[in-house]
Amino acid sequence: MMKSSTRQRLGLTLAGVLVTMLSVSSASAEDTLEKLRKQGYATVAVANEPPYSDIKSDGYVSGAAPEVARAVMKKLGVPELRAQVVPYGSMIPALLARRVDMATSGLYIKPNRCEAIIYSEPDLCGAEAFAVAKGNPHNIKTYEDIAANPEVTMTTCAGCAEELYATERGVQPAQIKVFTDPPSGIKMLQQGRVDVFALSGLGTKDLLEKFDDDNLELVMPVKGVPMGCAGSAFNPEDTAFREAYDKALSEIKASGEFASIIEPFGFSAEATMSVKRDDFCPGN
Amino acid sequence: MELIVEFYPLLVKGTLLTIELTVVSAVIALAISFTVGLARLSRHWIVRTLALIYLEFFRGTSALVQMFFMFYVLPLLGISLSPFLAGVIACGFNLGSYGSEVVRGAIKSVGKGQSEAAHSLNYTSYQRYRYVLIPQAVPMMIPPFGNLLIELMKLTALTSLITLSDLTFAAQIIRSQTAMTLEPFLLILVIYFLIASVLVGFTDWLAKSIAKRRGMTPVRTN
Repeated sequence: MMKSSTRQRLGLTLAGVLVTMLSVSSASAEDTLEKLRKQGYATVAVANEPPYSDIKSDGYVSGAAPEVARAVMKKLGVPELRAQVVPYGSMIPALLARRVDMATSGLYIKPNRCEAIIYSEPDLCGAEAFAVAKGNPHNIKTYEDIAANPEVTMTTCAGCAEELYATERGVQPAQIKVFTDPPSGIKMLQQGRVDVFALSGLGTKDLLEKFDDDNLELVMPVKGVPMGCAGSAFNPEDTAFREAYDKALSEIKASGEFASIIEPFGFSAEATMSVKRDDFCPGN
Repeated sequence: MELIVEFYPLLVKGTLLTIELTVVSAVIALAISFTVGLARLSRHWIVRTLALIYLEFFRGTSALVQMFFMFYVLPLLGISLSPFLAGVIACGFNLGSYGSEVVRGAIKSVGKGQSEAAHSLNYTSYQRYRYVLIPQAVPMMIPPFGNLLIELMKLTALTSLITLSDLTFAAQIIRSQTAMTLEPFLLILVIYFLIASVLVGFTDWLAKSIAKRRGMTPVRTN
């Protein structure tokens, strides 16, 4: 008697767990924006790469991309942003797995990414840059220069646009050593493990200022690659959420609020407003 | 020093989370160690086989991959574990597989006569394990368990890759903010070491208190 009641209880518990799991998964199908309004905050993925995204010592998320998203979400009735640090290479899986509601971290709008996720209109555009040793000993100005000299090695983040720029321009995979986080990349450059550090222009500049190392030098802009434009990224099912976001974004662009948010971080509002998502991913 | 002052809240939160992760996954790992370890000694071949599959799978695949799988792949199948849950399950399941070998090994090493004596007294197998074999095996399990506990504590650093703000994560934030590398890593190195020292002290104390209660010489943990 005793035994069977324990077993029954166990069975009930298991059933309960299953039901909870199912209800959790079906909840994600309802309108995302509605859900965010109700709970009062949105969970966003950031990469902690100043000035695109910047986590302060008290955990507050700043940086150009989250600040734009914060202003837009406020307009949409979601007062708070909560950030989760996700490396660039894991941002798309995080969106697809609904680990985060959106990614706001300067994730460049790229055709291969558009196959998996959807973007808002561009919110940050910037040139690309290299960091090299003082005096640029290998005279590296473009990705083609790296490809031309198989001795030269470079570092950038795994799954980043820069990795694709390099391989598309003939840099051999063996020449690329990916870093796990940008400061580690600069460390590799300082220690002579690589010759070139490649990243977004403003990101590289910010790092070099923080490292304050006289033996390093900035090469910016890198010629021969397009200006990188990023947007907020969403789960492909959240098209309604994306449309609402776009509408609010165009409103703050028109009111001048947008420029006042991004220009202190060093981004050009004019350059960003001159491009559209369709320039990168038609029909996304 | 300045670093500690500025990033004090982040470091404290990180340390607390690392301790929390360690404790919760240790409980999971301990439960699994006994379940799987005892299942491997079962009379029924099917139970033994299932336990063996569990052991070889979780011991033979990377904990990091298991964690990524639980965090990024399971949600696609409709199972969404919180980052904390995914982290402790991955750490606990992984270390639990090692722990099951500790349990099995310790029970096996109890003298054969003990088991035979229990049989001759007509003990059921539950009684045999509960009153004869396990009590004698536990003191032998403590030192290897202590080892695994420290291993587990260090394994929790992987959870920084699934968005948990543990100690390693705190160090990465400090690095991005300040471009310092030596200082934050040195700092967390010391904190990890201090936590490990506490864990060593705990297993030592446990071994001694069990030995004292039973009036025997403790198995040394270090």
